[in-house]
Amino acid sequence: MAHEYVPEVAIDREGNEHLVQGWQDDYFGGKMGFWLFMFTEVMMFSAMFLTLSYYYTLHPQDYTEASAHLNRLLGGFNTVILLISAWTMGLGLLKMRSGDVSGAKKFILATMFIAALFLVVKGFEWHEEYEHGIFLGHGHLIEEGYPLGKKLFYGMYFTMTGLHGFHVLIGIGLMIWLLKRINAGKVTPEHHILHFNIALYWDLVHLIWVFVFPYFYMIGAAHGH
Amino acid sequence: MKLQGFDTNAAPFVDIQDFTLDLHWILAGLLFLSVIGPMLYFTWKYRADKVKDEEISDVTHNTPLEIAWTVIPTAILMVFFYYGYEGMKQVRSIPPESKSFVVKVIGSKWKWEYEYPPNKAGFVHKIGGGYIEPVVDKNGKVIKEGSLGVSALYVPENTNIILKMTAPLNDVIHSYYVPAFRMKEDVVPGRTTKQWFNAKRGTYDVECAEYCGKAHSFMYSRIVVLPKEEFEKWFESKAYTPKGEIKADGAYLFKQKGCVFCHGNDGKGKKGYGQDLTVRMSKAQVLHVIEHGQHQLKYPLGPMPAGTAKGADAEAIAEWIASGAKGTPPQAFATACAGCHGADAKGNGGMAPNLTAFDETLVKHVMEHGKSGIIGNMPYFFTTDKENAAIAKYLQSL
Amino acid sequence: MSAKSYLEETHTAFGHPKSKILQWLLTIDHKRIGIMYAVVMFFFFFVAVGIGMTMRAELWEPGKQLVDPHTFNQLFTLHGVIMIFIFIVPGIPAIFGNIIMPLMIGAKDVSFPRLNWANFWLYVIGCIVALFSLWGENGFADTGWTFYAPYSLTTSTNVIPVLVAAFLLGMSSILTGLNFLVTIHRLRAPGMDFFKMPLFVWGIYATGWIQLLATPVVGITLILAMLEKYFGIGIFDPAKGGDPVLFEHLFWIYSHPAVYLMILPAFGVMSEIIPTFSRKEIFGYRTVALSSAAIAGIGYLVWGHHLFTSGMSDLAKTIFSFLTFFVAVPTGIKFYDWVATMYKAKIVLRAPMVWALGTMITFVIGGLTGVTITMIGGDIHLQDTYYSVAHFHYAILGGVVFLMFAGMHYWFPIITGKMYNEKNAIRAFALIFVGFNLLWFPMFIAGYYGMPRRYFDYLPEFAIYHKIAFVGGVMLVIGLLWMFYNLIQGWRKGEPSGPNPWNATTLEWHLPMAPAPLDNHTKVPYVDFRPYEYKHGEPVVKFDYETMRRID
Repeated sequence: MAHEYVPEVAIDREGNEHLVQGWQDDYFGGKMGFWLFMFTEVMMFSAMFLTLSYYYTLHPQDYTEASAHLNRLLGGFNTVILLISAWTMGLGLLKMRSGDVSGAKKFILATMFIAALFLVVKGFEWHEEYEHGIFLGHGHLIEEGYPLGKKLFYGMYFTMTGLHGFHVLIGIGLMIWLLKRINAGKVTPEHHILHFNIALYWDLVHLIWVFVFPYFYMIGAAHGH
Repeated sequence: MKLQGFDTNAAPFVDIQDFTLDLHWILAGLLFLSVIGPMLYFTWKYRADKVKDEEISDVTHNTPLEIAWTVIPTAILMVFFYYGYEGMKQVRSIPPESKSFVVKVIGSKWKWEYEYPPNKAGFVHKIGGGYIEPVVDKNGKVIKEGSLGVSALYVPENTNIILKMTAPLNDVIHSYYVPAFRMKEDVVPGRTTKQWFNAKRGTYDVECAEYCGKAHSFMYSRIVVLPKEEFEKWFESKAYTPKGEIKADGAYLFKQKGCVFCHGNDGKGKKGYGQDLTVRMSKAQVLHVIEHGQHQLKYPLGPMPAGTAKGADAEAIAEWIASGAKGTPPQAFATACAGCHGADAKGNGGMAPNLTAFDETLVKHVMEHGKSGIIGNMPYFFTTDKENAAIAKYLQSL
Repeated sequence: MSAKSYLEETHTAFGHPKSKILQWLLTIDHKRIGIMYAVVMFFFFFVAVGIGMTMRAELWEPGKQLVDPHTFNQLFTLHGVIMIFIFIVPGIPAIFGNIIMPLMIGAKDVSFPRLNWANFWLYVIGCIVALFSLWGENGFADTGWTFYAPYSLTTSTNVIPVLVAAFLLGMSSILTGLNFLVTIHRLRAPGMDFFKMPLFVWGIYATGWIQLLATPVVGITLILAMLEKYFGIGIFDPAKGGDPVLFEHLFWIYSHPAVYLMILPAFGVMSEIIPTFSRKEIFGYRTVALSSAAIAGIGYLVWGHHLFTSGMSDLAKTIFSFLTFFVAVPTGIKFYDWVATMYKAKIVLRAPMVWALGTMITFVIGGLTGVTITMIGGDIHLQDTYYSVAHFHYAILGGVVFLMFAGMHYWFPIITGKMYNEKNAIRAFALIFVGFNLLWFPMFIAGYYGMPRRYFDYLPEFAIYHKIAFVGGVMLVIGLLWMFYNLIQGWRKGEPSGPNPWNATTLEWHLPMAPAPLDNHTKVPYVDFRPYEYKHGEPVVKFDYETMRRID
């Protein structure tokens, strides 16, 4: 029950040959599929940004106050390292394309390290907020009389940074898988669609953060302590 | 079959709404025919056994036709849009509050409540409510009273009425729907939505049109439009509802909440849930009572002992009562029953239950104490004497 | 040339299992996956039909017949969840999009066959999760399939598993759409440009975009609702500062395009059947193709018409109403094109054609009654009444599902290699058609007179409509059983059909044998012809099935 790709041609009435695209080894198709998947991710986060913005119009004061309370230092640090990781990911892909497999592996490892660091910092941040009695289903967020706008803001903050963190975690998993595939010789400079798509995914992950950061951390910066 | 007052042009925008719909259905019917007419005709005209292969045309374009079937339907759709918009404008053009009578409507699971503006004496009418199931413990003891509720909005005729509607924050979305007025608007917790009308005299059903849970389909109310003087008289008083209103409407009370649930909309009962109320007692019930006695009804003569008649005698009595106590009673009745229930079985002046009809006393007893019968327990309901009388009158009319 | 059909051998996701069952469970062949979808879907379809009939029986008379109000609410929720999320949204794309679409464009399979396989199992997991809550402590959700907040947030029933299930099913639907989009872009046979594609492929293509761009919105909305229920963030709960109307918006941003997602592939089926059984090229190919794209595009902008009575501003209502009318225009054009195709044609009234023509009647009624509730004034009266219930059953059952049945009769030879009993197929159609109209037409009238939907009990004035509907329902169910029995018997004992019994023109009918061989066409043909070319009732394009070169 083999399913290998047999290159095939279609012949028109004049006898000219036309190459047939098979589903196997379709680099462009693979790329396109992943781009389409990115669209759905964008739609998903847009819906959340929409929700967030709608409530900003209802509770602007609560939003800025709640935002002022967030730790801009840790958030900013995370933004910077995530941008750097996008850069290392891109370099890795360039290395792969130019045939330097071991160089590519180093950059993937570096990206993984930064991604893990991002999660650790995020963990500290969440812990700090937990200590202040702000966490989903805990402390102020289930307290009667705590301003509704703040509850919404922090609720969305944990939801969205949580979902983003989940994407980072998946990214790390994907990169581990990518390394295994490279080591197994399945991903090569000639056949690197997997690497390309994971780099694309990582771009989306940092891109989302680029929107999350100002929206949550910066709207209250003027009131910061 | 239509709801009461559906065709009476009860509110000012019924005209435009019905005109819009009628116009729409006529034009939509034409559009339907413009597709289905040719479709059926072609199916018949060009059926396979009538067409020679070389007669088949290969036409695939006809610009004038294509333009026609794009432009004409679009134009018709714009007519629909216009009238839909007109309808909305009339329904949603809420008159200024200064020139209207504003009533607050609160929709909650599962009742409609109305709060009126203060009258001259400063008294605020608050009416409404729905069926509330009584809470009964294991031994049948009532822990929390239930209520049959009185849910109607009383308004004067030919007056602009504005409904300011809301739901409690911890409740869910409802929708205040008056089919006879062709209007509805959702009632959203945390928001205040508005509707208005200006209605003719009559009684109109109100339904909840946004799904809200278990008793969604029991969340009825009605709008009672009264002559101005009659309304004023009530509004300036402290009376709970306008006079005479409840008495006239036992059928409504019966339908409104509690009763229909077990006894059915027509009172004929539901197998296993409630007895047939068009018959005072069934043969089986009479036999059961004769055998076991009856101590639940608290009539002046006290509990009825068990075993007042036996065998063929009991059968004959039961037969006679179940058939409506018409004609001469059997011999056994005179000896065993007439002493308390009277020779005509009509209850001996209220000393014992009337066996021929549901009288007021009986309804009151049962409503107040509940009752366990051969089917199961009927719970306790909170009702006023007026309501009991109305229900009793209704039951007798069944 | 392979002499074995896809039913005899297959490609698997991994390994080379000997067991027939494992070969089915692990298959990545698009045709087998389509059949497995069909089996699961129709199982659930009949469950939901049974639930529907239980509700009809309950509504036979006012008052309680069979179940209590709470159970009734769970029943209509279960009916909606199954019919929408499990049956009709995957519906035609998952069955015929899988089986037929690659054949139509001359591809060997979809672009990502393993993803296709994984999607099917994701779908099955979704179904299981949805039903899981049936046995939970608090019972199945009683929210209605729309999960409106705040009711869904406050009910004690198991809403969360249903939300998870809807999310998983949505995920499966997104990835299926993605797979088809890439397939259509990448794997068309050489020479086949977009305007040489069969119209069913156009329908699947437009649907793919809706699946891809609209489904994630409802996915995340359901996730937010779950978080809300667990943690009480307050996103949709008015008691915590949220706005329940926002949920309605987010929900319908997906769920309205979703109805076009259901109907567009169905229109595609119609566009295949009408020219084939008229023995004539379709009228206005480009307008039919582009109107699908137009419907998909406009469909994104009209969700607000579900909220005409939700307290939205009058201006927003006006805009949404205005835009909604423009969905009707391309839909109308399609119908006129189909009817024009039948002009001076040779109408062969075989079962697929009878189904298609019957569907025209029911769908035009469904479509035009949709226009009624697009008029804001009309909708203020008819919103949430039986009128809308009748409207969407006419459009979805009388449109999408009927065309799915039409497609089942049409493509039956490719899938099974056999032919069903024609007479019984037509009789079953007649019974279903009459039962269907008896079941739902009275609801238009009841709705206009003010019978609200989702009512366990009703005022006695409406009894007559419910009684007629029940009788129609019984006829419909008997017809359905008859139809499926006939098709199953056809597969088991039918006459061999040959690869092109209808004299059809599109590529899926140019296979060397029926049922289809595992690797589809012997060779990929070069497509330099339009999809429905007929001359004097005979297909213009003929192939030598050995070399797949044109011999006409």
